[in-house]
Amino acid sequence: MRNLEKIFSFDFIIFLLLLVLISAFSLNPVRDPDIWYHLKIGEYIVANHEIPKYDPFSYTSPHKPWLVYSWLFEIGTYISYKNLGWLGILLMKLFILQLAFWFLFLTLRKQTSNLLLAVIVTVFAVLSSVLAFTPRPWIFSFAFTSLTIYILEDYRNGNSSKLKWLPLIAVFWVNIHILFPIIFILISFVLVEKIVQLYLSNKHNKIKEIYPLALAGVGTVIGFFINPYTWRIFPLFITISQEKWVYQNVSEMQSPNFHEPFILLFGVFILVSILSLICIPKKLKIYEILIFCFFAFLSLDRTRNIPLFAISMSPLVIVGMNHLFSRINSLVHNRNYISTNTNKQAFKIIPLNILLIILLIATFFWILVPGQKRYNYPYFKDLPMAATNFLLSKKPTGNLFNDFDSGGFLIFNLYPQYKVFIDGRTTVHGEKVLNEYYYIYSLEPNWQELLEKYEIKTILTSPKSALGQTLRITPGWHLIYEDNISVIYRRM
Amino acid sequence: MGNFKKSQSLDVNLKPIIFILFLLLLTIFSLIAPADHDIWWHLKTGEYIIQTHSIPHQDIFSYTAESVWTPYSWLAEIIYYLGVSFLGFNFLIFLRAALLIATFGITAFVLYRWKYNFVLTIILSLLFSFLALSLWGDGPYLFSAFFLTIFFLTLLQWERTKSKIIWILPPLTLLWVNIHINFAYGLALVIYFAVFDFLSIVFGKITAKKKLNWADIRNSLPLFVVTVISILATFLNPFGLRIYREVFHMANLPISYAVVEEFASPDFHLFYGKVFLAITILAVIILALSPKKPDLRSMLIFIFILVLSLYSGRNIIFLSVLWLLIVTESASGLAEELSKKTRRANTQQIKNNLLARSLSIRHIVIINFFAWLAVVFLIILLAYKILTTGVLREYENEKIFPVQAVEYLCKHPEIKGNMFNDYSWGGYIIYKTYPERKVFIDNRNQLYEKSIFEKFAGVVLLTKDWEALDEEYSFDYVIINKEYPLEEFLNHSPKWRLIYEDKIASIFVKK
Repeated sequence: MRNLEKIFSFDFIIFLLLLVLISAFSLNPVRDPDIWYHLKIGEYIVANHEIPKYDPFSYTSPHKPWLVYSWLFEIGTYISYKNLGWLGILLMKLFILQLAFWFLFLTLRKQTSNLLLAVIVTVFAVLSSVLAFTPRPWIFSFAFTSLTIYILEDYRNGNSSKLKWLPLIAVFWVNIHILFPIIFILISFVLVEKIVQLYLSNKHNKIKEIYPLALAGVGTVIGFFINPYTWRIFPLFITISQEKWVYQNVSEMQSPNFHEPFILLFGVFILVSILSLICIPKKLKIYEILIFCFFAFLSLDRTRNIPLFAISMSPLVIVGMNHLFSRINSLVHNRNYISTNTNKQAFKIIPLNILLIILLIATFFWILVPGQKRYNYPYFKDLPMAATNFLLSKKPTGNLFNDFDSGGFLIFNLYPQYKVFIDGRTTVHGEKVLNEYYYIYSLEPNWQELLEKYEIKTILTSPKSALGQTLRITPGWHLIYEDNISVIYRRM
Repeated sequence: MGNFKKSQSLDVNLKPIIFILFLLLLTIFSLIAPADHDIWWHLKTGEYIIQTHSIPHQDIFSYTAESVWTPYSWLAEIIYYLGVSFLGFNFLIFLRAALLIATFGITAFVLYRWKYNFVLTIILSLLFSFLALSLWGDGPYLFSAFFLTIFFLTLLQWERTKSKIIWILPPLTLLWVNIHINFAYGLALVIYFAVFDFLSIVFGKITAKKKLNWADIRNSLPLFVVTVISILATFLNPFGLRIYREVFHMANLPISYAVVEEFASPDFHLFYGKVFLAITILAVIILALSPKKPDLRSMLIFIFILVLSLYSGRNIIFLSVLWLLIVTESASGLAEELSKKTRRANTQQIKNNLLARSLSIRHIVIINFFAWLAVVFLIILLAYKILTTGVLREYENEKIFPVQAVEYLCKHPEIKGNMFNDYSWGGYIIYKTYPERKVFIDNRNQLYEKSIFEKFAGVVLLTKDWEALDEEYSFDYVIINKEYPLEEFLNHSPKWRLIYEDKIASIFVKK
């Protein structure tokens, strides 16, 4: 009976619920323009058994050293794609996101005896993050952040046994996504908290208590060097955070727009976090304040960092809500109007649990295995598929100018026959080339000189773009291909 | 004890100096605020009202707006026009400075009178004024920021002392409703205080299991009466009830958020966004650490104005005035707690420190000297800035407005018919060319249909069909910013001829 209770337990039900929820928002057509160049890079590395040192895919930055910091992600994505097609990529995404929010739930579960509250906050964190549910390296950062917080919260509650995993997480993280410093920053925050607590309580002789954490921190830093570029990865982190063109022109890098529905959820999260931070009775809130400052800055700076805020602030929100419920109950003369303990008796009714589990599994498969048209293919409607085939068949010579969003797709389909002018790898191209792209695309005064500078003979763009419309009436260019998605112009 | 006497002497000598320094800094800050695109049509409206002795109810400046026009800032527009007529554009600069100083100067003074920590009050007032300044343009909303401050201070003073000062709110409401649409914030604040008071009384009675009676409400009666009178005062405007239609219309302008930066969510990459984020984090830290938390009423105001500011960056100005009051109280509480702990630790040390006592007088003299030196320096700096062109900057900034291009149009009356113009230049063109010319669009966001904004935003970036829009409105000439792709498109178009261009603007006529 006990084994049955374990199998058909509350935890398993919540696990499935999360799976269904995440699936509903992540098993959707792949519309991310960057997935294409990630796949191509993965293919290149697997085929050549080496990570490229210079950019082979564009002709605007040929001699600039290229740090392929997400190489491990690209290999993993390519192998998934090669064996299972787009379904492989979607399943990989689902697995990583499930990991991220499952560990978040486990963290929250330890913060409160009100399990329903833990579920609600987790679901809220999921909903706040759905805009970032794309097959990109950043979803690994969500998972690693969640894991790190799970381990550190355990440590803060007195259990240091899991700290040994942090250096290993650091090694994977530094080879997958550029936000790897987060792990060290989180460890530092806890370290600062511990040191200040020891100092203020005059327990200097207990400084040894922080040794395991300090050791984990050192191990993490050592782990950062285990990447193909060793120390050279660090300046790249600073370069990326200061790319002006990117935050002016790439929507995910811009500040959140609180007029969008899902961003409103993030707004609610901020407010609840602030209230929790202000109202929780704990006197010394060093760690909580540091976490709030850091992730508030990250998420308000760039929309794509919103899930990091949701994951990192959820434990504080739980504590805040617990405190709020206690206050409400005590205000009404200690009556428990709001239960702070979930009655788990209901979840010991096995037949009910089995029913719930079957329902959830069925829902999951209903989402996962529909007609292939719905989920298994990228959203080809917006991609210049036919124009690409035209180029491959007609083979017009000379340099090609393309739109920013289609660059990845063109790399995937046209390399090595053609190299692109631009694509989503902004760190490769740098501010100068990005600005020059913008000047051409937006018809700035020197746009024609720039076309001359790069000896551009062919232009592939959207017929609705300013460039696409203006070239139609510009002497020296003639239209050689047109469909609803793309136009191709050739210099006469 | 010597050091305690020292602090009393400092108290007497330095606080006025510090306050003067604070006001001087505010003045210098306010003389570097950015130019506002809206001021031009405000001025023209004021001119129209003075000359015709009437307030327009239909739009007179454009040929595309179809809805009724409610120039709710008519009183401010008269003030602007008369001020500029008699004193030139310097009037606007000094008005802006005066409103900033009044808003934050009065707040700082009142906070000081309420015995909050003086140094913290000054520092926070400077910080929050700096935040407000990043959005402190020229429009009538500056009056709203000032009035909102007065309203909040008055209501808080009422809560403290049940002072009769609360009776200034109805006449101020009457003034405010004829100056700017954000009178709704002030009115909402008054109603909020009244409702909160009432609910507190009722809830208190329920939890105490007692009946509500007249004596319980009597203390709050003036507040309830003031609220009712203030609501009635809002109807005393040229548009009557229609003013509330404008309030709701302004709150629900979806296109404004996409087109107009100040109505959009804050951009935390820009300077004002960074200042806003830094101050928000500082405010949250102070409130989190302080033993003196805001009460529920203030907490709700804190959260609500943050919501409004995240939704629309324009509300950050109002956030700065409201938060200053809430955060200063908590900051003072925090400072008090820290100083208690420090004093306990240092008391023994001070008693024995005879050397420190003998130095204190010299310290006082030195500090006073440098403080007055700072005052003199800032006065000189201010005078220098006022006398040089850097401060009395040309309002007609050729880097921002199409000064030369519009002058060209004024000199060529044969260029006539339907104009297509840049949205952000519409106000300036109205100011310079009405009644001879009417614009396609300008910054009066509440006036135009959503479709006009969408069409404008689409065609200048060439994401919408220019030809279709041209066919719809039969444009005769275009005055356009060179930044837009449309400019280049027209350059190559066989239908249009370039007749004028300078560094920022081009004018095309139809061939």
